[in-house]
Amino acid sequence: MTKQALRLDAIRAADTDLSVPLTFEEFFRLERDHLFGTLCLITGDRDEAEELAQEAFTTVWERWDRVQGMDNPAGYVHRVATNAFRKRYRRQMVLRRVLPHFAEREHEGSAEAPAFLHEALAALTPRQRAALVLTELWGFSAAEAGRALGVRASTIGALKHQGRNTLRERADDDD
Amino acid sequence: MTTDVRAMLERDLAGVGPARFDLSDLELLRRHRRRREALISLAVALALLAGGVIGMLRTLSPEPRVPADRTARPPSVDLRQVVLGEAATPLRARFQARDRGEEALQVGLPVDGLPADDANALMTTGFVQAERTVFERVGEPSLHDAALETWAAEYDSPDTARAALGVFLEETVLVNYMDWGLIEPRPVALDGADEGSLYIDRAIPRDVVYLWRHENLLLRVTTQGNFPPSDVRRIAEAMDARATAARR
Repeated sequence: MTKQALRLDAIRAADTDLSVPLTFEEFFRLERDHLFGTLCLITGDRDEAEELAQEAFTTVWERWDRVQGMDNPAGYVHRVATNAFRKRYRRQMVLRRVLPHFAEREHEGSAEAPAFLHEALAALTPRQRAALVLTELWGFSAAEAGRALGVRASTIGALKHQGRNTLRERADDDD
Repeated sequence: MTTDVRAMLERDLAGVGPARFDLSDLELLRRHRRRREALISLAVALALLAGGVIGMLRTLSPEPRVPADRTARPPSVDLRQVVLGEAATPLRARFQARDRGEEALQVGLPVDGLPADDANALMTTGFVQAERTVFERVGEPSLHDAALETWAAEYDSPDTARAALGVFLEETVLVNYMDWGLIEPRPVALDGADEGSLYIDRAIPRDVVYLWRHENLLLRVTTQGNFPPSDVRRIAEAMDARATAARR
């Protein structure tokens, strides 16, 4: 069982009668801030994180009759959100290459790291941050994180390695 | 370091603060989705209806029917002379397969890289022809998945080739479909290439993708496994030289 499932179970055990199926409203209340927060860490952008989280929750709401019976609905909504992030990120990369003026606009809009993100984390690429968030915070295995981001498990290892190297270099610089 | 990274992430997570959306925002999004789906269904129904009417008119028409010509112009280069052919199979490799036309264009592209319509439009606008050959490594049972692919596609102009290059580059770089993907591409120079284009993975040096534009041609050499990088580069340079020669 992943960390997400354990967390949700712990909250449910404290607040809710386990014999009663979890409603979407309860699920949303339990998971909203955590999903939004972690998406902020991945994207580095509150507005984008909010859009992704809303998209993911809406998708889950539309499928709630099936999702509520899953072992780990929290893991599912996180996977839906990560999938949406992956598609959006890939689309942005294509636009940057195909439409040069788009890259200039993007650059203008991302000159400064967001206040909530540590400077060292802001130096990582979104994919590197996603690999770290998925495995370190969400408790995904490399294979699960690979499926969520559409890459091999070994790629997750490489992304984490690269991310940690950058963080280490930044830490050395600070010393 | 693992603990440090987690602590850093958890500290930043605590600093993000609560989300500012609630169920009413999701309800709005649901309504928007329903409207969009209804419009799409309507558009599909109208298109099917229109297609049916056009088909009926064509059946009634006395003129002979010709297949729609999707290519912008006839091929100007023999791409079989550009890609690596069966007769030029590299050492310790075995010819495996050859594809032509749009089939060769599509192979290797994941379905979710871009919205299918967008990707298709960018790839097929001005598309003239494509050729692809695949070789497998032999004699090294532990590397049975090692493979080499050479590929060339012709477009009707450098501009349409450039637009398609963006799609192929994206698909090549960011997706590990069929294990061809690159984690961190590094552009390197190649004489004769018009556009930015050779990529070698830093993280997994044995995965190499050379993808470049030569006027209105897109050329690609991809290897996975134990192919010496210097050999792969020689294959790419030879392909580029053959692309030049094929125009004369």
